[in-house]
Amino acid sequence: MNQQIERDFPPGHPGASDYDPESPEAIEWARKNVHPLGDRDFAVDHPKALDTAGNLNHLPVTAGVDPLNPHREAFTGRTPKQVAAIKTLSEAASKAAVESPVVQPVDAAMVNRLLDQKRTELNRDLLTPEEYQSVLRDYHAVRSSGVAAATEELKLTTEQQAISYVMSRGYQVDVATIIVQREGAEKILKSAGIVPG
Amino acid sequence: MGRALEAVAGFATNPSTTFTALTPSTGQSFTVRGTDITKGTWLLSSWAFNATAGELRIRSPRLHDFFSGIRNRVTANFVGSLYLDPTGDSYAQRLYAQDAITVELTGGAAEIDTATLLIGYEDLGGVAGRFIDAPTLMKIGLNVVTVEVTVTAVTTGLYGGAVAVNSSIDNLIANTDYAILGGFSDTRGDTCRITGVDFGNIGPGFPLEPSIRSFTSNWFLKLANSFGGAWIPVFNSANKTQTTIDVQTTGTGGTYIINLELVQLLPGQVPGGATGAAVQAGGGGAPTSAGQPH
Repeated sequence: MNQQIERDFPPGHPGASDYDPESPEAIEWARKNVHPLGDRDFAVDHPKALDTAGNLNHLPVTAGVDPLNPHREAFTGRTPKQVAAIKTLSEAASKAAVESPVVQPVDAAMVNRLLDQKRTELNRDLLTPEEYQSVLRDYHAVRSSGVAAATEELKLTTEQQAISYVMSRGYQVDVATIIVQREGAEKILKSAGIVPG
Repeated sequence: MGRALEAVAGFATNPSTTFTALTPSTGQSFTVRGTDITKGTWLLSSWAFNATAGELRIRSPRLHDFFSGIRNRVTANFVGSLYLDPTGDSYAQRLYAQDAITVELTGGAAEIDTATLLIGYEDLGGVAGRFIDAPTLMKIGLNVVTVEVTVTAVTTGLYGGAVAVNSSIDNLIANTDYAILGGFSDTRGDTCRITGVDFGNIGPGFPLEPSIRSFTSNWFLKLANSFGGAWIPVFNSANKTQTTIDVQTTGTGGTYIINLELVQLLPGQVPGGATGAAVQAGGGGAPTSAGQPH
């Protein structure tokens, strides 16, 4: 069995006892380790070093484009043949595609309540398009009746109208209430030229 | 609170070097909707998709000036935010009820160019869309899930090709709320819009720029963070067949594979939605607590 030789320095290293500056190993060592121009950014032969043969530093790196295959479509990597075929298909599909339907704004909370009523009624969560449409059709009628009811509910009484008027003259609500009770709501409204609602 | 978020998209045909007023998509208008004037209405973002570089000009006598206003360069084939970029800190432009905003574009001489304004209403009467803010999402969010659909856009510069969120993959849990963080596609387009009764039938949207997928994938979360409000749309899977995704783009049309990034939410936490228990309890056995890493 041959005995393994452990060298102090690799062949060509200036520190090696058999150093021969003209040997191929010494020339190669110098090429890799002696940099007369100063510190290098990358080691000799590194793929990104400017003096490495075949480096790719000149290739532009742009979003979605494979630098080694710039002929391929950005982001998808499709070949030109695939792109052409898909373009033809897409053009045909786009001509056949239809504009999105226009939908009217709705109150999401109210429509969702109505939809839940419908679901409970049908005992089924997923509604068909027709069932959806029936809810949306009814929505506008339901909403307008709701608004009318709310308007009626919010209508001020004669006394409230009078308090509101007195408050508009700068009195706090508790004082305005006392004034209205003392003077009478109708009298106050009449003097202000307001017709009781 | 009647929140609404609307991606108002428009197009100009062969605008060339002349500022050309955009034609809004059918059913839309660049006139701000009538709102309670005590509540804010905001221009949250704007973007454009031009095949040829141009300028996007947004102006109104109610805004800074009617001479040049908000005027920005549109680079060719890049659909990034032109103004009010919700990447980080930003500043929203206040809008005024019923104000007719003039939106104009320059671009190519033989193409349809497109642009979109994203308008947020803090309280739009008669709408009451379902939106949450970022802290709420962090508190009640459970699992991430992706919705993938294929949309075929029209070549007229209008919104087109609407398909339901479950048209390709129907994997949403029954009667469950989902927050939409954002989305993306591998194909460039102007705007992807999501419409449904949960948003009051007014569609939030985001730019379809494939080179900034990391930016658009949580677009609405970024809006909520940047502008400090509830701008993350929420829908219930009970409405999945009526919650649609469509695309607006230039005259090239095209087929778009859209990925929407969703977060499943704890049931019954976002008001104004389907109860999720009309017939079958919602949440698919969801845990009763949620949250993000601390």
